[in-house]
Amino acid sequence: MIDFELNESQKMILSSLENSLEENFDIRVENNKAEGIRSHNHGWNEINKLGFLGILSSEKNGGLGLSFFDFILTLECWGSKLCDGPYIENSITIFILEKLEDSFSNKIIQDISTSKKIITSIVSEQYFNNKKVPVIHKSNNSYFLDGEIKNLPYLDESTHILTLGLLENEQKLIILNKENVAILNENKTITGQKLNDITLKKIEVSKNEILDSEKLNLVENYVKLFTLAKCAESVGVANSILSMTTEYLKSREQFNQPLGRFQAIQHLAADIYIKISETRELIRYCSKLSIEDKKMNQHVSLSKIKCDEELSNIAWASHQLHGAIGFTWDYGLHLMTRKLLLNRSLNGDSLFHSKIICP
Amino acid sequence: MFSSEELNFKKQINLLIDKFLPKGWQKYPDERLDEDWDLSKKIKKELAKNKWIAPSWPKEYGGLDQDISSSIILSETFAYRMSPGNDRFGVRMIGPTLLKYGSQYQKEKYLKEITNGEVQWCQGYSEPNSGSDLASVSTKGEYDEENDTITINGTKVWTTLGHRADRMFILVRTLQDSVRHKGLSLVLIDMKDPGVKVNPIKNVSGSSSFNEVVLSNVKTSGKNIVGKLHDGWMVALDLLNFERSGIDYIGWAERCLDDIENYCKKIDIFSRNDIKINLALLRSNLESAKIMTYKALWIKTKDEKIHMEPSMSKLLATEINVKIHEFAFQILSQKVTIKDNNHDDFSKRILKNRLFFISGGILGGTTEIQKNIIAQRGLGLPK
Repeated sequence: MIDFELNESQKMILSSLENSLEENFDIRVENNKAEGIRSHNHGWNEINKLGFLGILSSEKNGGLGLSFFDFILTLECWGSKLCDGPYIENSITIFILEKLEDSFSNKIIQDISTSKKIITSIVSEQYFNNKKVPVIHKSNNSYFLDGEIKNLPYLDESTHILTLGLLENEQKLIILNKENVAILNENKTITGQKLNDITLKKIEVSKNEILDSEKLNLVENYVKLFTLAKCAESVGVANSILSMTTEYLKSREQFNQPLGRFQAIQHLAADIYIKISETRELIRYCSKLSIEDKKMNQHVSLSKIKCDEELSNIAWASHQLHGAIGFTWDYGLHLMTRKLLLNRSLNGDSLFHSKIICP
Repeated sequence: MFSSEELNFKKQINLLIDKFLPKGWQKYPDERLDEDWDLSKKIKKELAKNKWIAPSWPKEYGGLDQDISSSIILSETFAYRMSPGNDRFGVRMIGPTLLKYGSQYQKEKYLKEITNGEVQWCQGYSEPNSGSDLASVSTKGEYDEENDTITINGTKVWTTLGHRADRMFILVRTLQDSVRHKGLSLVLIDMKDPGVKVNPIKNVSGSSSFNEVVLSNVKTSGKNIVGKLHDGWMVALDLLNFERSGIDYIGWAERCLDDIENYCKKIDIFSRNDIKINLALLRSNLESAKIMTYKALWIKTKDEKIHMEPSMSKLLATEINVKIHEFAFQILSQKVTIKDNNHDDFSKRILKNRLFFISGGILGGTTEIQKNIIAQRGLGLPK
């Protein structure tokens, strides 16, 4: 049965999240971050305070027990306020661990839900660059991890790292304590987010820390869900571009009338609105599918391709509609553009996803 | 999106179509041809037997009281199969309008005719001088208060199925000194009235699916005014929203995409990266347009407001349909453009449809009109 209605509890969650995230948003701080002057993750504290880190954790594990669809809704809000921090990484980790239903996993879930453990990861990029994945060696009854992880975000904020590891040529998810790793380099994204290259030298991991499931391919599912989550975040970013643009078109006057009265302008703005609406609905629909449903693989790729095709073009169109003011650093439109370009470059290119859609 | 019960309904619809459609049916129905029209009538009769013509309508008017999903499945499946017999003017335009605005007399008289599969409706909106600017219609409707009748004079154009229709819903100016959207009425007329003359118009694809309809002293009872006299503009606009879901275009587009994907496999170009990327992009745009179309149809059942979704879905569905047909045209290339011995049914269909679907961005309110609506009513930009 077709139903596009958000229920009352979903509307309430979105409203409380939006209010909290709106409060401390400051475009000057975000500009400083993009310039490398200041390290700052807007929204991360609020997400912690509101208990949203446990959004996908079951109530028995101390979380909110909400659906993946609900999580996707929060990400639209998260993206629209240009938030940053390992919210997606922790939530997807919880979602995967919930499927394992063992005491080790439950303990980690409980620790994440209560912010005792914070996970960071770059699993998705490791998956797409298979050659650079750390290797797990087995020696007697112990396991050791060797290798490098490049461009790992949020290391400062985290206590643990979720990484891919190759065990006898099979990809596994491993949870590591960050104290065991050595930092090699510091890099930055075009949004100003700090990244670290780290090295892992003979780090011992317990069997429990190598996540395994007979029913589910954990790696593929992690990557799939992470990709979809980043798409939802991008839709949120694009939505903030739409709000900014509409407001500008209503208030800016040229030729003695608001810019938004000109039909040429109206059509470009309508295009932005339409593209965001359809991309959002595609992602929301996908997030309602079960991860066991084979259709979901294809729909994640359809969503990613749609985001890649449409959302950065929305940013370029918005710059055009803003004229010179949108070309300035201080106005801040570039922050959204940068975030969309960054997200487009992550989680596999069009060819990879085309091959999933057209096998 | 659909329950197993709803998917089972889809299977049953396909079985019904299988029963009537000749094997290897490879064309968009041309209802000017008697054989296609006869097929359409037979299929409608069979749908009516099962009460499937308008399954989401109330039982008292021949429906099944089902939710909008079954109507979506019906329209999409018929379009995918390119089958005649799915009535959009009666079931999807005037029917829902009468359910919302019609008098008891109108509901009882006209709705059952539609669900019995007996009557074909057509739309009398556009005129030679009123296309996108619908509020400028000049066809006169003179109301005689004493006899409670309206006499209509004027010309309507681009009237799809006008040559087959039994009835027309027509927008006329009943207050002669009025301007723009004031003083208009939506009226129901009988196409068998001696004052109705239908002249076919040949379109770019070579067929004549639409017509010019000349109305000379056509009389209809005041009981056939939908809503209030002189106050039909909002009713007429709302009717357009029923028209604008774009669901047929989704079915046609999906069929073309599936067929061209199979064709790419057949001629061994499917493994090429550029082909895969193009097909994947088209599939992605089709899926998002499809969901938007479902949403537009769903939202019409939720409240009385006029929403933006039908404008968006109409635009998206017609655009993706053209993009997919254009891609097919490019892949087939000279197999389409040169009519030699290799000009098979698939190539003929792609040629005809690529040309015919130019109309998608024009009829029911052009793409540009939809963008005006979205910008002004959706985004609140000034008029």
